[in-house]
Amino acid sequence: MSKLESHISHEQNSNERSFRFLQLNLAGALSIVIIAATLIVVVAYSLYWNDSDRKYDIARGGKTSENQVLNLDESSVDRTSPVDSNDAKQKLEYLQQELEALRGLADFNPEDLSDQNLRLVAPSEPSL
Amino acid sequence: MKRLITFAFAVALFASISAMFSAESRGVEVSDTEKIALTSQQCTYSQEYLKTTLKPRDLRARVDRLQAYRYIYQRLDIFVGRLERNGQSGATDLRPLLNELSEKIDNFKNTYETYDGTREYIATYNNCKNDPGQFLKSVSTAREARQKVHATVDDIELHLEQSIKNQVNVVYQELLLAEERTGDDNE
Repeated sequence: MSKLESHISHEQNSNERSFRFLQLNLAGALSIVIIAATLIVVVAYSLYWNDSDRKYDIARGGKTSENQVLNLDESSVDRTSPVDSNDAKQKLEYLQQELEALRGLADFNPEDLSDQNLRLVAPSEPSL
Repeated sequence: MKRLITFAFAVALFASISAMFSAESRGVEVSDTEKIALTSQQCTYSQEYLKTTLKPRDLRARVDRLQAYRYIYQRLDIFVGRLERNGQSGATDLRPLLNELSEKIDNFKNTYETYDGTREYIATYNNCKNDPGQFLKSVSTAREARQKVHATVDDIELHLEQSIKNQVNVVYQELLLAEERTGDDNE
């Protein structure tokens, strides 16, 4: 066999070996996919678990938002046309409604950390 | 004898009325030493209140408020964007106010984070029974931090109510005037 023929034959054999290595049956392919998917889930979940904002993820599926500001349907999303007096008047009305809805939310009243609420006061003497 | 009985009755009545209206009506005034002792006894109840009542309430308030502020900001941004895109007056005055609103919203977020840390610290402080003094100091720090959050909430509301709403009203009045003038010109 000439040198060229032996070289070609050697290359063919090594390609066949590589190809055999890459050849997978269905079970093997599925295993790889499952392992890859599991890795992605583990990485994604650990990113979520270590996020400092995770504590603010309090919304749960099936519950509608009780935030009245978000429930106001400020339906106009026109971003381009000139503003006319009706638009400005509507904007004022929406602003007023949004402000009223904001007042319905808790506002971190200092009273919540009072001695009474923390039970750091002695109970009063019983009346005679 | 009658006089003595009447006098004794008057004294007893006076004493009971005084007791009712005294400072003790909301709890007994205590000295610092007594306060420390009381804190040592009661601190676990305080921590329970912080974990089960105050923390969920604060989280809800923070999430709702930040969502609301961002929603209001976005809608205002769209409105001001329209004014700017069409070269209408009012945009140059509203844009800085909107930028200020954005800063105040960030301030709210940051002050809450600080307060959240102080509240968590006292809620999870392991040594409150043995070191009530430190516990009380931490409570005081948390109170100051909470007061700052409350102040930022008031600040944002004031800014929306007075600065931004007034300026939008100015825009409205100017547009109304311009439309009336255009109407008169057409006649």
